Amino acid sequence: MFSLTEEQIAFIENDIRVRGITSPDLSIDVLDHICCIIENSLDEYKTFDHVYQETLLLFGDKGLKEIQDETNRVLTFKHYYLMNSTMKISGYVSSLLILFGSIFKFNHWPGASVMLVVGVFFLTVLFMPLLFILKFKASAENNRSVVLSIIGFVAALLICCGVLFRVMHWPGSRMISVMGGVLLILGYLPVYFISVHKNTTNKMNATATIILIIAGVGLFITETGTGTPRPVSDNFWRGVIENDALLNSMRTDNAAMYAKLNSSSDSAKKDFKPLKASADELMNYLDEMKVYLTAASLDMNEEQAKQVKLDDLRSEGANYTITNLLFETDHVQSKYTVAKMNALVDNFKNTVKTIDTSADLTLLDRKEQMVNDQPVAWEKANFEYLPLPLVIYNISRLEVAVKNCERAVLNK
Amino acid sequence: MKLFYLMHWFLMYLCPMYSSELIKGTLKTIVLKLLSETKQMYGYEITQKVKELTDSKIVITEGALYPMLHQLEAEGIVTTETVNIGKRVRKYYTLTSSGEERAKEKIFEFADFINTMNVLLDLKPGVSYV
Repeated sequence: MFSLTEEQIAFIENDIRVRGITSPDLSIDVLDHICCIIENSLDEYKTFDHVYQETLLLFGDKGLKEIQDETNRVLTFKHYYLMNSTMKISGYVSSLLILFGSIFKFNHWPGASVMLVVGVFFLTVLFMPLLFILKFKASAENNRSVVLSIIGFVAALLICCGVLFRVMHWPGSRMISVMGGVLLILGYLPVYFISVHKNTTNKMNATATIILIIAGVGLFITETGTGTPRPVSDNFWRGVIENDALLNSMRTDNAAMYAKLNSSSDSAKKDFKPLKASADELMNYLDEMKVYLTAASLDMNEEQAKQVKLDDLRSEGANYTITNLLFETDHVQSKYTVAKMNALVDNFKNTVKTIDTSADLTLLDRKEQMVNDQPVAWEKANFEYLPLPLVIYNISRLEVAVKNCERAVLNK
Repeated sequence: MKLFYLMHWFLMYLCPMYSSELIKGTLKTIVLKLLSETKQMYGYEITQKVKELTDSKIVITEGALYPMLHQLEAEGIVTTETVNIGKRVRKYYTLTSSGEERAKEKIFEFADFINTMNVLLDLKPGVSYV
């Protein structure tokens, strides 16, 4: 039996790599196999090259590449069923969690945030990567579809995180969602369009997909409020400005009256101290609430929100205030709640009652209001799902009512 | 000589003794059985052994053998050991303990299958059906 030289072995090793045996592990097997065949057929009458070519014939034209492909396929799909079932289960779990999370959130039931965060976590950490990997493996031969999968995966990840950040009122949500949308439209769509354009059978589906993506992203961007803001009407805005002016004049008036009372008779002075304390506490709470809501709605910190002028808010008519914070019961971030505000208003009313039993407190009655012919709780009618300027206006009206009651008592 | 190899190729790939469907399902069983008898084998050795034992009636192709061996390795049914043979490396395959279990199961399953086929096709041993 003949033995191959080092050069011949190196030649075969290189040649089978060129012919498609790319993994080093498989290369050891195939190299040894071919060497064995050659060594068994070599004799003094035959050259190495001749025998090698004959041996290659045994494998057929694409035989070596087929061995590599089949090995890849077999190894890739070793965990196929596990991955597939994990993907399905995580998909079901996350979609259910997100569905129930949003229903809970809508109804302000406790546990909504946890469900949403866990749901999006499952979606982004398990479902989407697995979907991506399985899709990637299925289309491993087509480079374009790999690029497509990667872009699609990143865009979907960004959009999911953007929505989650938005719902959880974490900063940067708008930035993340817009990046995802832009990537989808400027990155995914062109590549997708090119890749299906060459494939005539899929054109109909492709057109539908492209339309759906554009429409979806368009609606999404509109929803996140990055579209042109809708200014509040002139008439309404005049009311807002006048109310603000009224509030400011009442603040100074009442402060002046306190000062006057302080400097006059001693007997009355003691009576008004608790009134001032409870009124101030309520007013401070409402003022801070305005800042807090402005900061949350406009994605800024409270220092920046304090600098926002009333007129700056006029263009925010299209943006809904993030007032659901006020109704949260499970939300740790919620510094200001409707419940706390109501308690402070009641406290103020009681204080007024102790000083002046006959005081008229109808302005501070929080009765149900009619919204679209439906009776709605005062809190919901005034604070829920309304544009920021309107919510600020409603808080200011409440402040005017407080100052008015205060003044009525002080006047007596 | 070239003609000989073409004939060999023809016999090997186009005119096997049994149809490829028939071989496909039994390949794993054959390899596991061989490995359970001979503790350590390399790929070429397996193909030659099968050829020899079956009088060239069953020929295992490289395209079927190596992907399967790599799959068995990934599943932990066989382990490999590389040994330097002269100027190249040879990979030996050995059954693991779970692999030996699997070999027994596979052989038992196939024996049972043959019995069933005997009954089903009403085959009588030693009779030529050709």
